[in-house]
Order: sequence, then C-alpha cells, then structure tokens
Amino acid sequence: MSEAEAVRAELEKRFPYLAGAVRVQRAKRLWVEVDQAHFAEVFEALSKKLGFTVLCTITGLDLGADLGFIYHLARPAGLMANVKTRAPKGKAIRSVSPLFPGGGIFERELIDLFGASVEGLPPGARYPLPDDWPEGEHPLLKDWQPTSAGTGEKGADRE
Amino acid sequence: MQNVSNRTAVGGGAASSIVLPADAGVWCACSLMTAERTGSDAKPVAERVRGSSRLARRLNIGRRLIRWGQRKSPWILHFNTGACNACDIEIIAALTPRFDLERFGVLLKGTPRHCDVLVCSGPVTRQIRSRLVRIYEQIPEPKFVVAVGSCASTGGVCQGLYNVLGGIDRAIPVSAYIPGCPASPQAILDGFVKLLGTLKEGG
Repeated sequence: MSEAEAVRAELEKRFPYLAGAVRVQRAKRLWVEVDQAHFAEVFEALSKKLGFTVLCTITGLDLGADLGFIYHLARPAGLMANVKTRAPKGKAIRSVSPLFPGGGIFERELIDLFGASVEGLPPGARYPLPDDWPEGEHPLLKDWQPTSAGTGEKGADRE
Repeated sequence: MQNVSNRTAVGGGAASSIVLPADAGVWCACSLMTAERTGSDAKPVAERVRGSSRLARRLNIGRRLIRWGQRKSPWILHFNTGACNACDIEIIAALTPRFDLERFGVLLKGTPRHCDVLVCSGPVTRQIRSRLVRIYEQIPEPKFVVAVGSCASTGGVCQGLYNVLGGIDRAIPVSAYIPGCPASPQAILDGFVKLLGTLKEGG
C-alpha cells in the first residue's frame, strides 16, 4: 500500500463521512473534498496527526455562487494532500493562521483577489493589490471587468 | 567663470549644479571635467536637440563642450519597473565585458542624482508608478529615459493585466525604445548608440 493509500485509509477511518471523498491521483498526490462544516477538523488532523506540516499555498476559485478553496498541504518528504472546500460568496471562512502562521498571507490574497471574508486573521495591512486600488474590486472574480478599476485596458496606451 | 547655484530636486535635498555662462570660451581641463559631469541645462530635451541655429551653436562653445561630455560618458541608472528579470539580465550582459557598453563611456550608477539616462525594464505596474516618477524627478536635467524590452515599450505580454498600466511612457517621457523579449544585448547596444547619436546631432 502506497503512502497516499495509507493516508486515505487513515482519513476514512477517522472521518467516516469522507468515504469516497478522498482520491489518490498518483503516488504522491492526494485529493480530499470536504464541506465547510467538517473542514476544520479534517484540516487539523492532517496537519497535526498525519504529518502534513507544510502549507504550500491556498488556491482560490470562483465557482459562480460559491468560492472554492484548495489548501495544498504537504509532508516534507513530498506527499501532497490537496484539501478542497467551498463556501458561498459573502460567508466567512475560518483562518488557518493558528495552525500555519504563514498561511495568513495566502488568506490576505484571497481577500484582495476574490473578495473572500476570513475570520480570525491577525491584524495587518491588506495584500497584494496596489495601495491605490479601489475598494470592492476583486480582479480574479469571473465577472470582474478590467476597465472597472481604471487599469488593464487592452491597448489603452496605443491609439 | 562659473556660477554655482543650488537646484532642489524633488524628494528632498539640494543638488549642487554648475551653470555655465553662454559665452564661456576656454576653460582649463580641470573645470571642463567638472562641467561635463554636473553641467546643467534647463532647456527641454527637444529644444536642446533641435533648437539653435548652426551659427549660434558655433558661437556657443561652452554648451557644445557640455554636450560632448554627456555624449562621451552617459551615466545610467537601471530600474526594474515590474519586469520578469530577463531584460535585467540582458542589460547586465550588455554592460559587462563581453558586450561592453562601457566602451561608449556608459557607467552604471547607484543613485538617480548621479545619472543622465534612466534605463527601465518591464511594464509600469500600478504600484510602481509613483516610485518611478519620484526617481525620474530626482535625476538632474538634461535626462533621458530608455525603455528596454517589449514590456517597457508597450506593455507587451503584460498589456491588459489588472495591475499593469502599460509601457514606461504611460508614466514618464521616453527617449528611446529598445524592442525584444528579452531585448538582446546587441539591441541594447544599438539603442544606446542611437541615443548617443541623437545627442551628437543636437551637438
């Protein structure tokens, strides 16, 4: 049984509702889909009990009515567990910064670029959009228009 | 022979510059060397290059000597306004001995207050714009801007991005555009020689 299969078995044993939601893509790639209600405990088990001590990054997705989040966790030896979850737009998600202090920076990116709301972030400046960026503009949302923030007009500097 | 005046650059501090009288005839070599580095000319670039008649130019030996100095040793400042680093690598390659821009007197400096030519690579991002303008304003006149690479010239592949304004000329006036992605050292050399040629014509 490969390392990833072992993690899948362990996850399904601990959390019966994960049956069928864990997919082994290949030897070192594991995908876990979990809803918001159970996300915190699955995420904590992976990082605290199962040795996934590295949070590589967080991917944000615009899924229409929902925002998708993929937390890319890894063991130092290279096995990756990608935890997918989703939350309706406007509904706050819990910050992972108590477990991964460096994860706060990824969550600030989600806030700026996707308009996500995150609870439990330590105080700090917004990141990474420019200082003069207008409020309420989130450029990675599907329905965002380049001109609405006054930049990014294609060919605007050439007549 | 010389008037020394203080010129305040934006961003604080006063840069001392030497203003040469228009009828200055002959200097000793020592004062010439000072003049060619610090000589200031408040006229806009276009006027300086095309302006005066041939007769006036002949009479105005002092100015011609300053031009000569600028042409023979333009000091440059390299500024990355949001490039992917490829053009920066090529600029370094152009400066170092293999291609050797230094044989035209080009010297890389560390501060805008010492430079004549601002060499920019990359598109102007929304965040860098105010910094770029501030650095440009700190360069003593006469100053020139060279945009190295496609992105610096037009925005290139970064055109249309939410965080990018476009080419360097969206923020500050540009004297020379060097195409290429990245611009090759040969192209950078060519661009510089053309810029220096423009100065010569304006001599």
